[in-house]
Amino acid sequence: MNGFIERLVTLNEKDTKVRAVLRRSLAFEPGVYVPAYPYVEPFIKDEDNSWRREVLYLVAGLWALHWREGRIGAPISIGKACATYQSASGSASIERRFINLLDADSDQLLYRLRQMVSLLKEYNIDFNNMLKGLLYWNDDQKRTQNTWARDFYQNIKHEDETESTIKEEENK
Amino acid sequence: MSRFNLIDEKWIPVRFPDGTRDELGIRDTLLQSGNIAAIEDPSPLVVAALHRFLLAVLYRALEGPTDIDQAKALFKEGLSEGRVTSYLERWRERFWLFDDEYPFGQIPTFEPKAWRAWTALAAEHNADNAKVLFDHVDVESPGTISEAKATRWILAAQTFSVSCGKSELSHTNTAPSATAAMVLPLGRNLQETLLFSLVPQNQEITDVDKPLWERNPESVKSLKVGYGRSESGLADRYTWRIRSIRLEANNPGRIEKLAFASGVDDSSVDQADPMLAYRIDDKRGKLPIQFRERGLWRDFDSLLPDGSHLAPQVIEHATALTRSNRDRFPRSAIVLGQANNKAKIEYWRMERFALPDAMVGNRYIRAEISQLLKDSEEAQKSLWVACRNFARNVLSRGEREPVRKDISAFLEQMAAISWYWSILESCFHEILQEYTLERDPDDIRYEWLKFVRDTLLAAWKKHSASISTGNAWAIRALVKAERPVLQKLKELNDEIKKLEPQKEEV
Repeated sequence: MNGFIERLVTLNEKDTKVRAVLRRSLAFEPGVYVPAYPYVEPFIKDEDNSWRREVLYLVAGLWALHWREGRIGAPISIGKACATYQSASGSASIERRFINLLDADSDQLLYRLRQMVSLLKEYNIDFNNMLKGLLYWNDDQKRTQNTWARDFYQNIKHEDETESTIKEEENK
Repeated sequence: MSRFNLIDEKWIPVRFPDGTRDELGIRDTLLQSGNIAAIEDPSPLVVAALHRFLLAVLYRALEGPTDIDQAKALFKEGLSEGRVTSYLERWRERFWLFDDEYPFGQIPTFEPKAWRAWTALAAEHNADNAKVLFDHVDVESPGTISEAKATRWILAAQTFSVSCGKSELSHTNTAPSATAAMVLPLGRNLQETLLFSLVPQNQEITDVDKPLWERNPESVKSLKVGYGRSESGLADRYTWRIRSIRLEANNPGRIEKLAFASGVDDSSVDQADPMLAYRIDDKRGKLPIQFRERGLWRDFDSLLPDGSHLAPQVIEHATALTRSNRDRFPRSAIVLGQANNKAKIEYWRMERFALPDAMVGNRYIRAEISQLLKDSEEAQKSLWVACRNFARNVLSRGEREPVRKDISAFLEQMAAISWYWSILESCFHEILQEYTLERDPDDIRYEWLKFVRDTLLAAWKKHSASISTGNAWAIRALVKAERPVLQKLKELNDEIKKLEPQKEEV
C-alpha cells in the first residue's frame, strides 16, 4: 500500500478539487461515491477484497478531511495523537472515544474514525500507518486494535498504580 | 496373651534394588538395610514416621553416635548386627502390638467412653479434620485393617497428629514437627539413608534419651490432667506419644476399633529437629520450613547448609560423612510432610530433589541458589503487579476503584502466575544439575536469568493472547497493565548482558 497517501498528495498539488471530492465521499458508504473513483481505483488491485477497497476509500476521505496547508512535524500514529490530545487538553472523554473506536466493527468504523479525525485536526496524523492498521481491522487476533491501544497508553501519562500495590497484599 | 511382635512380624514395607517388594520386621529391616533400596508406602506420612522410628531404634541400639568420629566409623563399617540384635532381644517384650502390660505404642489401661473406628489413625481416611475426596471409607462401618497397617498408622499418627481441640482425656496438642517439611537425604541403600540421618547427639543426652518403648505407659489419670514433659533426646522425639491409643483386640489378626485421645504434651522449647530446615522470622524467631500453597522448591535454598546452620542437620551430616568419599554423597533428598490450616490437613506430600554436586566440596552454594530463587521471585513480582493491574483495570473500566476482594478473586483465577511457577520449576531442577564443582556460578546464573526472562515473557504473552481478542476494555486493561513486566524484562536483559560469557581472544 506504499505510495497511496503520497499519490493523493501529488494529485492534490495539481488539482484542489481532489480534496473536495474525497471529503464529499465521506457522506456515502466507502467506495460508493463515483466521483472519487479516479483517485482511488488505480490502487485497488484485488477486486475480490471488498474490505480493502472500503478502507482505501475511507482513508482517502479522512485524509482529505484532515488536510491542512503547511502542516509541519513528523506524522504520528492515531493512538499517539489521541494520547497527546488527552494530555494536552486534560479531557478524559477522549479515552472513552478511543475505546469506542477500538471496539468499532466495520459498520461503525467510518463514523467513529471520522469523529476522531475531526477532533485531532491539530495533529499531523500518519495516514499510511492508519491505512495499514485498518486493512487488518477484522483480523481474529485484533492485532491492529492492540497496537493502537498500546500506542495510546504508552504515550499517555501513567497513573502510578504499580508500586503502591505491591506492599498492599502478600505475594503468592 | 501377647501377639504380633514388631521385631519379627512383617510390617515395614520395603523395596529391594531389583524392584521387588516385601514387608519385614524391625530386625530384618535393619540387618538387611544394606540390601534394601528404600522404605516405600503409599503414604508419605508413614514413610517419614517409619524412618524416624528406625532411627530411634538405632540411637538406642548403637548407643550413639555421640560425635562425628563415631558417626564416620559407623558409616564406614556399617551397622553392627550384634548390637542391633542384642538390643532388640533386650526389649523384645516391649514390641508386642498386643500385650496386657506393654502393648506397643499404646496405653493398656485406657478404657474409652466410645471405641472409634480405625480411621482415626489415618490422615487419609480421617473424617474429622481431613476428609479426602473420593475416600469412601465409612467411619461408621469402616471394616478392618491388618495389624501391620495399624502399626504403621500408629507411628504416622504419633508423628503427624495436629491439634484439634479437646479430646476425651485432655487437650490434644500437635506432635513435635507435625506441621514441618521433613527432609531425608537418600543413600544408595536404606542403611546409608538411615546413617545420613543419624545425627550425633552428645553422650549426656544419649544416656538419658528414652524412646516410647523404654518408658512405662503413662497412666490414664495423669493423661486426664494434661500430662506433659520435655524431650530427653532424639529417640524420644522421634517416638513421641502425642496421642493415647489402644487397639481393640477382639478380632484376631484384624483391627476394627480403637481408643484414641490426647497424649503427652511436649513442653520442650526450641528443640531443633535434625530433619527440618529453619528460617528466621522477624517476630517469632526460628521457625521450621513448612509445606505451603507455593511449591517447596521455591524454598530449596533453605535445605542447603551454610554458616547460619538453619539447614536440616541431616543434610549437613550427610555432607560431612561423605566429604572424604564423594561417591557416597547423597544424590537426592526427599521432603515429606503435610500442610495444615487451623488443624485441618490440606494435603500431604513427598517431593524429591536432586542435591547439587557442588555441595560435596567446601563451597557453600546456598547463597548462590538463594540468588537464583530471588531472581525468580522478583520477576514474578512484576508479573503479579501486572496481573493485579489488569484485574483492577478490567473491573474498574476506568470509573472507580473496585473492591480489593474482587481484585483478589479475579487475580486468583488468572493462570499466568501459576503457569510461570510451574514452568520455572522444571527449569530449576535442570539448573540444579549444573551445580558441579567446576562450573562458574556466574555462568549458571546467566542460564537461569535467561530461563526467568523467557518464562516471564511467555507467561505474559500467553495471558495477552487470551485477552487481546477481547473487547476494547480488556485490551485497554492489558496494555495499561503490562508496564511492570516490560520494565522487568528490560532489567533482566541488561543483567543477562552483563553476565554474558566473554569470548576468549585468540
